[in-house]
Amino acid sequence: MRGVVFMMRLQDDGKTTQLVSVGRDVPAVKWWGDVKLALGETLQKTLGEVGFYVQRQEREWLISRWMETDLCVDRKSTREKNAAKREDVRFVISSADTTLSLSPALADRSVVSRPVVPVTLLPRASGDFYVSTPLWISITSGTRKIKLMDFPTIRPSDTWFGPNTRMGELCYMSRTDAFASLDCLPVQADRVITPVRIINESNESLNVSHIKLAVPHLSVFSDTKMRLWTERAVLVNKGDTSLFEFRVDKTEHLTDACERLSEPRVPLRRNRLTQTWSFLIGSS
Amino acid sequence: MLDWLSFAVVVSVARAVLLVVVGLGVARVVSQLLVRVLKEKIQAHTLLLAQKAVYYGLLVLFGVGALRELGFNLTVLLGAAGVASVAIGFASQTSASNLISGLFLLFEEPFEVGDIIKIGDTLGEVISVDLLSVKLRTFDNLFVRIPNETLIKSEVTTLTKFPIRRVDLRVGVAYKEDIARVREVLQAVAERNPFCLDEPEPLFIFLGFGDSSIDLQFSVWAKRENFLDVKNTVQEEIKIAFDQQGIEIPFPHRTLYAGSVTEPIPVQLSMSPASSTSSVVERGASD
Repeated sequence: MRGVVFMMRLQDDGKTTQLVSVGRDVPAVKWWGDVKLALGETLQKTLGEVGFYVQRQEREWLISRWMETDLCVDRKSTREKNAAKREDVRFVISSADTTLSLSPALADRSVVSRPVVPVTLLPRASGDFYVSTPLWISITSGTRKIKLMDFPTIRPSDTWFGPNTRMGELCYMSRTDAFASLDCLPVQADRVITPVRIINESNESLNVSHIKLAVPHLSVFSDTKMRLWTERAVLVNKGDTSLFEFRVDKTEHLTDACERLSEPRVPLRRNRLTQTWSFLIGSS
Repeated sequence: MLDWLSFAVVVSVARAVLLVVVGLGVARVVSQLLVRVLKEKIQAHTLLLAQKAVYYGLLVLFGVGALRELGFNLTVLLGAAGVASVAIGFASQTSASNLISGLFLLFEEPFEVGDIIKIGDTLGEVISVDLLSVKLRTFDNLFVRIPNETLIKSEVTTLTKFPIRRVDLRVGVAYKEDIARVREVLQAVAERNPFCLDEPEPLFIFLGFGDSSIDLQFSVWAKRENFLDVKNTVQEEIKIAFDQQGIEIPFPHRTLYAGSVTEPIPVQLSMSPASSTSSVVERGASD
């Protein structure tokens, strides 16, 4: 199910007006943007492992979401069991709010990516990698875009990133191939690509076993192929493997045709750079 | 003359009372203002102490002012207070001990307001740290007051000091099981559970050969807020995984052995159609 998008729009009479599915190896489809819903109308989507629907009711939005992997398909009382696994939330709104906005977002914590095959950067070498991290969906209401909720498209796994169990940071874990070429990267509708440039300015080899991406500091863009991107993260090792200089660059992939879809959750402050990124790469 | 004197006394008393009333108001307002200003900047524990210090400090100042208005000589009063404090000190050794212990706790900071601590059999959330005692709210919503002296003397465990915790699970499997396979199944359970941290990696310890089972310890790490969720869900998932994989969790076994001299006890099973039970154990001919 991961990497597949289903989009469905239900009307009062239960008719489906849209149904689109997107797999890993076919172009992504634009699922974000503003949607106007009439009273009683429902918008349903499945993205990655998460399914959700939003229904406009009398002066409120009803949002229901579930993990597709939790649903039962082979039991008699499927409907009741599945209903129990759904999480329903209601938001009371003014009668004028008929517009709902969906937008992609990044994780609310840093994401630690562990390359499937460890990478070693030789002294004075630099490397470009493409790391993908899980996508979050943000739902806002009305023209003022008041945030209703955001949730991940997969069930993220927690991990600890730090030199010991006392010092460090709680992050999400993600396995990545850390591809050096964009062509190798599969199209995944439920992941956002971050180009990472690692520059090893020290005289010793740098073993990159983990990459911690502080994605709350990054924005989300979409390109003309509807792939989701962030800015490039540039990491410079000045010699001390526990301390990295970090900066955010616009890449050549973020052309004028690219559209900025969401702002960083936490704006990056210059004086926090060193501290935030001090354990960016784990050396083994 | 007498009227004038009594009038002067009334005025002095009125002034003293006014000073105390104003002092109470000022102390309350200033301490609340302090909380509002420093709320985001310092820890709750330190803030509570600063608030109390400011409140009682101002009260003492206004109290001294009120005493002066009443015509008391403060030098004499302080001297008397010195003598009195020695007498009170002897009479209230326990309180003094708690007070000193409270000061030590203040500087050592083994926990702060909001932490979950365990002292002896008492487990609860710290709701205030005062000079004489620490107040806890237990999880069954009881109010517990623990003297500071007890805290200094005994072992205190702070459960919320670090952001992650290890959940140790004891698992017993039958002697016939392949330990490497059991280990794989346990690792898979930890990998599937979203509350288990990927790193630090789960720990697998072979505890030893038990009476009825091979005893293992499987430890997983979790975010401290998820500790109970992990403890419950992982054990449940281990049971399900073991059942699916056919791994036996044995219960205590007892083997009857009659010794090498005595003949083994003969046991014969036979089906009895008339009986509702499916088998009857008959004793051998030797009986």
